[in-house]
Amino acid sequence: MIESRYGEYGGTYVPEMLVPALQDVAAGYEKYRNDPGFRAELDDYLKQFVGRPTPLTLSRNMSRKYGFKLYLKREDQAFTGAHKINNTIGQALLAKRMGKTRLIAETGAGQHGVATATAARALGMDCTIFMGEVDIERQKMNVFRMRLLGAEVVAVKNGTRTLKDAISEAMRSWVTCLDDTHYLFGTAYGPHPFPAMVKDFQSVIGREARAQILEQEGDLPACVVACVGGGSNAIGIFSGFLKDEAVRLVGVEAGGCGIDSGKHAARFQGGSKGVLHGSYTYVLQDKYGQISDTHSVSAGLDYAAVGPEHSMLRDIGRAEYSYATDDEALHAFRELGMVEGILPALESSHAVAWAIKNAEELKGKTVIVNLSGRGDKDVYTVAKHMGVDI
Amino acid sequence: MISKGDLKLSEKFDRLKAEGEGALIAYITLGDPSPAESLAIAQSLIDSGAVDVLELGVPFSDPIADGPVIQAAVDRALKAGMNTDLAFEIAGALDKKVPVVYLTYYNIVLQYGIERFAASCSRSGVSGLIVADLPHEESGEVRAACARHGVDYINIVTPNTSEARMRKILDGSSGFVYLVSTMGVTGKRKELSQSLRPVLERAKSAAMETPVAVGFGISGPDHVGDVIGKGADGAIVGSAIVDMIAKGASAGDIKEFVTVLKQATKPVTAFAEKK
Ligand SMILES: Cc1ncc(COP(=O)(O)O)c(C=O)c1O
Repeated sequence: MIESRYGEYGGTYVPEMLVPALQDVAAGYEKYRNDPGFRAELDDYLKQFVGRPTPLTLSRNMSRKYGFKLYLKREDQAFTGAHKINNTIGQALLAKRMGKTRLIAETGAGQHGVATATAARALGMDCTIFMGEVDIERQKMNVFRMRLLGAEVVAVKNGTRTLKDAISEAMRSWVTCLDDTHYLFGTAYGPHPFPAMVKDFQSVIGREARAQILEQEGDLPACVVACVGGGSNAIGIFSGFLKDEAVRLVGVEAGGCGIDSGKHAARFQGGSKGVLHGSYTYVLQDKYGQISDTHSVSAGLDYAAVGPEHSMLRDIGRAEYSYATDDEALHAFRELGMVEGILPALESSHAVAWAIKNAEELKGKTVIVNLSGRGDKDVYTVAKHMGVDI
Repeated sequence: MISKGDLKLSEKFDRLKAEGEGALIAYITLGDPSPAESLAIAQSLIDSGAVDVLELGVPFSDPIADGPVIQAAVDRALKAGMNTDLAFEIAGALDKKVPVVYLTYYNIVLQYGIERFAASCSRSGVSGLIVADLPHEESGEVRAACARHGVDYINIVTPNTSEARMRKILDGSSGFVYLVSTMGVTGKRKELSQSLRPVLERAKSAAMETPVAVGFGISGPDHVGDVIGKGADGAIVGSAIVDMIAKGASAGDIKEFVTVLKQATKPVTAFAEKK
């Protein structure tokens, strides 16, 4: 059995109707996760379709400028432009083996939606994506990409009209079509078995990164940094180094307009333990348990709860969690572009921002930043912040 | 004169059964459209004499088991300043002539404190607790706290709950069992599921002595008559009432509506005689 708890965190807090559905997913995952045929098929797709392994790039100019050796794990080079595809191919292959013909998913930045739509097309499955109206507005290009891939995009008009409401709506929809549909959850969050399964499919990032740094540097890095939305790219790369106690693991949350402003999505700064969308973990909420409105310049980090394993890693002190504000992330976005020629996703820019901010402390050390996605989708947002009309 | 027994779910259902009637369970969201108005609506539902059990929703910002009608009610309630403290104030202030139960989500109970929530239910006369997103496997602490404070923990079963699982969930159940009529969320529906009868039979057999009430999608007297006719011990009507509140219906209109619903819980002969 796969563990449904990380210390006290995690669990399956869902309406009864979803319990049999989640038990089916868990049973399917349990059956195939170590199945050589399934693994071979997944590896083949990751290699031939996704383009793995992704490079581990020494960021020469940044290293020279900031005085520490910066390596970038290039998930921006994975097909469709972010790490999300590692998970969507994995779950889609699993769903197909379980006899499902249709995928549904939530999306915030649109990256997971695009990656799900892509996996659906590649495997000949139908696809419906739930997306908050606010996110549809800030990620127009990805919305159109999904439609070009034959996915139906449902605009979610409830609540805050962002990722949180898209997840609620996807769950509400799933119970009406359990027979033929798999809910392809996009991050290492939600009810069991999603946190464990998504981590598994994203752990390829950490496996590759560890082997690559040993080959290129002959040594482990001092520090591994990743942005944390739900937590999948972070847990994916961390998983490769969890046992290497000397490697410092840093997760970077969205500091929005600053912690004091209350307009952020840094669960480990202003949050407390609670339950949202099936999982017990750190949540931004008021004292009555009403979920707070969150804010981040990056839609992919704009969520009120964090993956349960991160809560545990923080409690036991194996990983530390910091944040970068909108302004710091926007600066890092431009900096990596101007200095190194790489435009990172605004989500990933938070991890880059942390490294820049802590350059003094990192001096002379080797650092891997997980570049979880590429910045093409964000150029409109960045232009707007620069006051440029494009 | 109302005795304490009148507020006990089991006694209420027993009495209705003796008279050959089903229970009409009416749901509203507390705080919708405002805390004060929802107190008045709740009281008028009790005073109508048509409602056998009053189910009060304690709002949670992200109600994943609810459809658009109740989501909108929750949004209105939270905007109007509704919170858990006020919910207990309202429950305490009601002149309860019938059992009152709460429906909420786990995070609301958790943040208030599980023990404290159960104790407050008991103190303010809330007879039962339904937690929409707390499956059996995660419900141990809440069930135990409810038992300590004499509050019925009401279990939910659904059409896709297997027979074995139903028996596990309903072992030692109290109050009543909440059977969800169809796969989906709360909301008005034109037609009830064709497969309700076998599911209801399964639930009734697994529930043993505990009454089974059917909810989700029950919108009018036809549906109420249908589920009671199929053997349910109660019918739960939520979105249809909440929808009336949203449209600004008067207390009189709502009372008239629940009176018609109540008639449909009675045997056809009694219904005909009264005519
Ligand atoms: C490029 C990119 N990075 C990071 C994230 C955040 O998700 P997670 O924390 O699951 O990696 C997203 C989410 O949309 C994303 O698109």
